[in-house]
Amino acid sequence: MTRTGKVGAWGLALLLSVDILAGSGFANEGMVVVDNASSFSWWIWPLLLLVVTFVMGVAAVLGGVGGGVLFVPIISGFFPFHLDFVRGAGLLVALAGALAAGPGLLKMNLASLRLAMPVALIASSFAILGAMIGLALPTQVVQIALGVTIIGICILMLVAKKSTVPNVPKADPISSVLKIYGVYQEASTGEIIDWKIHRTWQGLILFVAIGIMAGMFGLGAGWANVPVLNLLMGAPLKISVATSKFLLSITDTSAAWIYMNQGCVIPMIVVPSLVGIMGGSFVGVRLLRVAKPGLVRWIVIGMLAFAGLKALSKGLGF
Amino acid sequence: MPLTRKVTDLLVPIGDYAVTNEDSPLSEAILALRKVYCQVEVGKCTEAGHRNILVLDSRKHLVGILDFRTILRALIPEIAGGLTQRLEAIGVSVAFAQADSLDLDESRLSFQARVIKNADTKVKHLMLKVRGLIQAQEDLLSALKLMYANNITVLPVYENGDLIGVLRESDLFLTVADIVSN
Amino acid sequence: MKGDPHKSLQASPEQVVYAGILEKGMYLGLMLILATFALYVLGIIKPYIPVTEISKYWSLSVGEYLQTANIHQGWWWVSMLGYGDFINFIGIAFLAGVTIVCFLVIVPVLWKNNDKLYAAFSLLEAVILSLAASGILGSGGH
Repeated sequence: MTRTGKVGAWGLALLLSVDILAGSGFANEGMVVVDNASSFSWWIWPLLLLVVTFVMGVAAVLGGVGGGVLFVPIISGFFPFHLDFVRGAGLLVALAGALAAGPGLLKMNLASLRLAMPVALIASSFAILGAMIGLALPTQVVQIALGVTIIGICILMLVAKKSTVPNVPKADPISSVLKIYGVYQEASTGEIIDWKIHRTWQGLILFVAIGIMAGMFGLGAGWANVPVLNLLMGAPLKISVATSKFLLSITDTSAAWIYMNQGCVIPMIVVPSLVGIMGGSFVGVRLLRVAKPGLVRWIVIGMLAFAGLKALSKGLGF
Repeated sequence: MPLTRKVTDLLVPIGDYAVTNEDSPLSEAILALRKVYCQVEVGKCTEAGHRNILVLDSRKHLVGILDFRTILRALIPEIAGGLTQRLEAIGVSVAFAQADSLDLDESRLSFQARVIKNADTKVKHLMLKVRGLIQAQEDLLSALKLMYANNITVLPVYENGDLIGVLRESDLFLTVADIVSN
Repeated sequence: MKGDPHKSLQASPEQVVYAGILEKGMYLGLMLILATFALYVLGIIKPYIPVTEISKYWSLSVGEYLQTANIHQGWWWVSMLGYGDFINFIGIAFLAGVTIVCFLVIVPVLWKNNDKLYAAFSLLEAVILSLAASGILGSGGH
């Protein structure tokens, strides 16, 4: 297939996905009817969930967005599931993705266990707190906060810069004591780059907030981890991205247990979502080998913003 | 009867064999192996070159072995590697793609850059375990049995507790071929 | 700097150990999830909530769901493993538990390398995650 042909095919796939979403939105409006109609086969929703999460997995990879971030607002906005179960499933989806990437990132020495551990202690403790708060607050309030957060994420994605190798003039005392530094090889040039970090205190304090949000909404937190590690603390982008993903496997573990112990895990929602997203990212990566259409990122961020607005309007009762 | 000959008659002395240290990077082992492999190819020509390199620890004790396949698997895991290595590479690609940092994804780098990076792996993380060894005074038939029982192609040979050489499947083949030609 | 393991292109020993356990646990967890879900969805093991009725529950808040379906919080599911829907929790719990094991296993590795601070960190992390898993925290809500 030609390059344009491929891009066209992707566009079509995405349009199709939006179509499916809109369709399920319709069904959502008529939820009460659906629930009472026994003629409606039980497997329709899990199947639809599988298809939508599959497309979501592809879109996340092509658009450069975490799967968990897409999952919670879109599924809670367009499926008849209560936000409690969507958050539980979202955490498990993000957790599974992070666990799956973890071994490779650690073995290739891209994720730094040394950098992750102090951060993880803070983030995972506060993710527990966030999960407890998130489950204690009225759904309306969580809905509104979720909407605001999602729109914030969209803005962050549009404006946040990245720095391949940030300039860190001097490692700060904490990071020196903790020996958080390392080397990595710039693969294109073969150059060996020493890295160290600074502003460790400020970074750790921000991870308090990141942890709380991760637990409260069941979103992955890659969108917040990477800027803090990279722009604030000064870790190279490659190390930040990898460490952030690995970090998720720890933060989401703690929050996932709280959701699970509270009863927010319904396997019929969790397993199709997990399989869908993982399968989708698998296929997405294969598609990426051919080309990466820049447009997809805009479509994905647009979809995310739409889902955020929908969450907001649901919470405000419009 | 050729097979009643002793292992010691047929072995490749350790001095002629490629060796490396367990803490060396793979790149060093590769160069050492290539040197010996090509010498044998060019020099003795009639017999197969050594396709393995012995891995020694700091006290010169044999701790492992590397063969072509293991080396290639480590250098180009996404092609020669097992399922887990390929899945690992996909996991890494997904992580970088989702962070919109595709250009940093190592599993998408140029072939050359990846090979160079992977050649930096320490030998001890890759080497195969030594499965079976034989004493120099034993006969070739028991060597042959041991090789097939353990599914290996090289057998380290010891004498009085010291590693003195290596017996290769190719040497045994040539011995058996001699029987046929007689 | 040659002797400093943190200044090497290769992963540190504890990182390699962690990755190895994570890899095995993650694959096993995913397999368990797929296998148990197959048993559930194909109707091989009878579920607690019939699949035809599950859509009645998932639109309820978790509090209402637990009450109407008579499901209890915490580790109660362990006593319900005879049912097709609850066996899925084995794989999910496994996946959520791997990280705890990873941290516990690297404690002695770090200790041996005289990295006592990080050994303490990993032990503490394992404690935090176990606390979350125990169900002691937050089961009073709703």
